[in-house]
Amino acid sequence: MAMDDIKAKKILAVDDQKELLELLEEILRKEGYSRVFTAQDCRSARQAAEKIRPDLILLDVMLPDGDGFSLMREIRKSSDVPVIFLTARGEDEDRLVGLGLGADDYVVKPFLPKELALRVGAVLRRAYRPAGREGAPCFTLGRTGVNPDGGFVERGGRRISLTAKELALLLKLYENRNRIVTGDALCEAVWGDGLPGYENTLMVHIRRLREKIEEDPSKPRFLLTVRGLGYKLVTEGSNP
Amino acid sequence: MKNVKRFLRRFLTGLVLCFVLFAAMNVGIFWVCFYKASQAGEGSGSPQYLVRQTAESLSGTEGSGYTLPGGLKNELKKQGVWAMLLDSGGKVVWKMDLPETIPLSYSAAGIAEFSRYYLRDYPVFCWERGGGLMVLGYPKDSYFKYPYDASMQMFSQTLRWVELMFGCNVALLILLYALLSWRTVKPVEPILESIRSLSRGEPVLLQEKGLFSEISAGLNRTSVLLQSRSEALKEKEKARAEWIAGVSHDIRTPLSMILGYAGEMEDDPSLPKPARERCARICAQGVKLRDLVSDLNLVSRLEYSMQPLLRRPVRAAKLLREAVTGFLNGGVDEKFQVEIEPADETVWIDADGRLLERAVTNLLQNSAVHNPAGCRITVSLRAQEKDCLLAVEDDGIGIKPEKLRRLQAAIRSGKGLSRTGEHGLGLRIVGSIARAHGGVFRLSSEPGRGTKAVLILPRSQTPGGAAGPSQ
Repeated sequence: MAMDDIKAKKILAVDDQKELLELLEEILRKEGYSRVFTAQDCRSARQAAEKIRPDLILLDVMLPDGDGFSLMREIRKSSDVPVIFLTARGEDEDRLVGLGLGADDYVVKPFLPKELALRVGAVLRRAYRPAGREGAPCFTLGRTGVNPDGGFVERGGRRISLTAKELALLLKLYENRNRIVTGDALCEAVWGDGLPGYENTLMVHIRRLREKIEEDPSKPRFLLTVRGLGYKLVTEGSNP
Repeated sequence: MKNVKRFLRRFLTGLVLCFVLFAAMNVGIFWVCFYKASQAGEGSGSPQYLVRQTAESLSGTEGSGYTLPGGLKNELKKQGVWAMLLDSGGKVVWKMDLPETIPLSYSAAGIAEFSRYYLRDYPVFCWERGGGLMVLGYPKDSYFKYPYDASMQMFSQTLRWVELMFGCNVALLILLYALLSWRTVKPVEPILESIRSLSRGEPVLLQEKGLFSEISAGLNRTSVLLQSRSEALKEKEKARAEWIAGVSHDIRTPLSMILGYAGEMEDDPSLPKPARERCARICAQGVKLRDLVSDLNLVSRLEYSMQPLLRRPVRAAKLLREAVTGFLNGGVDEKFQVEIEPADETVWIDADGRLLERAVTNLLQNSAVHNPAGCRITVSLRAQEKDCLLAVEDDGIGIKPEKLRRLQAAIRSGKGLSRTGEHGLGLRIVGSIARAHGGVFRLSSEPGRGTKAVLILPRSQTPGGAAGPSQ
């Protein structure tokens, strides 16, 4: 999907503070989003949602004539538009997690422009990626190329196929590249269950994965073990 | 009820003791008097003694005449006693000062009649002498003579009756006493109970009547006073928490603007580099301010139970791994070595995972912030029967004892550290989170050796999802 498609999406920002709306608009425009609309209360937000049919809604929880949660429930009845909540840390955040409203994400106020732009971009990409494709990009680790869609790695012109579990592990690690991923999170991603009981299985899979992606599996450069915690995929210097 | 029984037991013991004392005293007095009286009755001046002396001292026979020693004669005369000796036929054979009204001859029936009673109203005492009978007559009304006859059976029965009567009396007395004391003491019980309730901070309402109506009324007033005070305090605390929540809410927008525009300018390539660096600083400080405000709000909400806890069974080891991972992923300098000890995977806690992770993260950050020269941080989990201990330990510079004491006090009481200007907010959050989970937070340190922070939390008794691998 071309970047421009995302930047052309319509974004509706709803907040009762005029200054904040201006700021949101400015941040988004700077990021390249050209079609940003604003609303200051539930009523005008509802109207705007009807009229513009936005592709993403940034929604404040506290509005002068209602709360963001019920507004979202209402809008969701007629459309599946992704929603990012603007919340205060604490109560709103907890309610959001507790209610399981199906919001796509939330940004805690006050926020940094970078934070907001990242979340907006991520949600838009996730929601509007071309249908039928998982959309996992190819990437390289040193001299090894990884092709998730093909389910293989390529090194020195040789294709080595990955098992489904190995691929799932590698993708989970790649999603969080250069960050530690706990063994628990990896097990949950691959087996849908917690770590206890899977430690050895996980280790076996990691070893096999290393044999396929590392030049020297006994001295891994990319797939590192973080003792007591989990693993980390280092892609520094390689292009995502 | 326990108290009433105790009172009653004490009263009754006292009563029984009184009885024993009374009995002892009476026996004593009786014994002393009886002894004296019997001494007097059998002494050298007693009629029994005199009559025997007279009978034995009288010398002579019926033929030759009788003589009584002078000393004895004088003694008898002094007491106004008359004497006579009857022979076996009942005739007076010797006499001394015998009044004229006394006959000189007696039939067997006559002798039998007077020997134990009176002779013409004179109390008489007799002693056998060589087949005859010596009789001493004392002045009228000087002695009371009452012979008493009873069958042995009747005598012992009477004794038993007396015992029974005495026993019944004592029993009735004790019973009455117990009843009376019970009635007196019983109203004390609710008073004691309500004092106990007051000490626990519970409201009390006593009936204001009876013996202790004044005390009851006083307790009722105290209760009302205490309740209204604690309610006022709660109101005040709640108002404060709400105020803090309001302020931190209102800060969101202005701070968003500051962060927003400063962030924009930081990335604006058209600005000179020094200006952009300054904007970066504004951003960094703004983020600090944001965290501070949200921490303040969280503490106040936790302390006034306004924070809803989303408690679920959480595997403690996993939670620690996640906290440490989050901390490391947040970007930690190489000078900090964070190690996590292998832990028991079967320990579950009923906890709000996000909050608890926050507490552990705070402890990790604390170790990092207070050891700018770097240190080794060890995270461990230890399981006990009912609790588990989540520990974050470092080998850094430690905390001075004086400051440690203040910090510990602040964690315990939930009050700030006013003197040094340090708020200790990070640690207070940890303390509040521990308390909210029914646990405690302990901080210990040795200057130069490092600091140890331990969260002691109750283990959940029913592990949530202890299912094994299903490969």
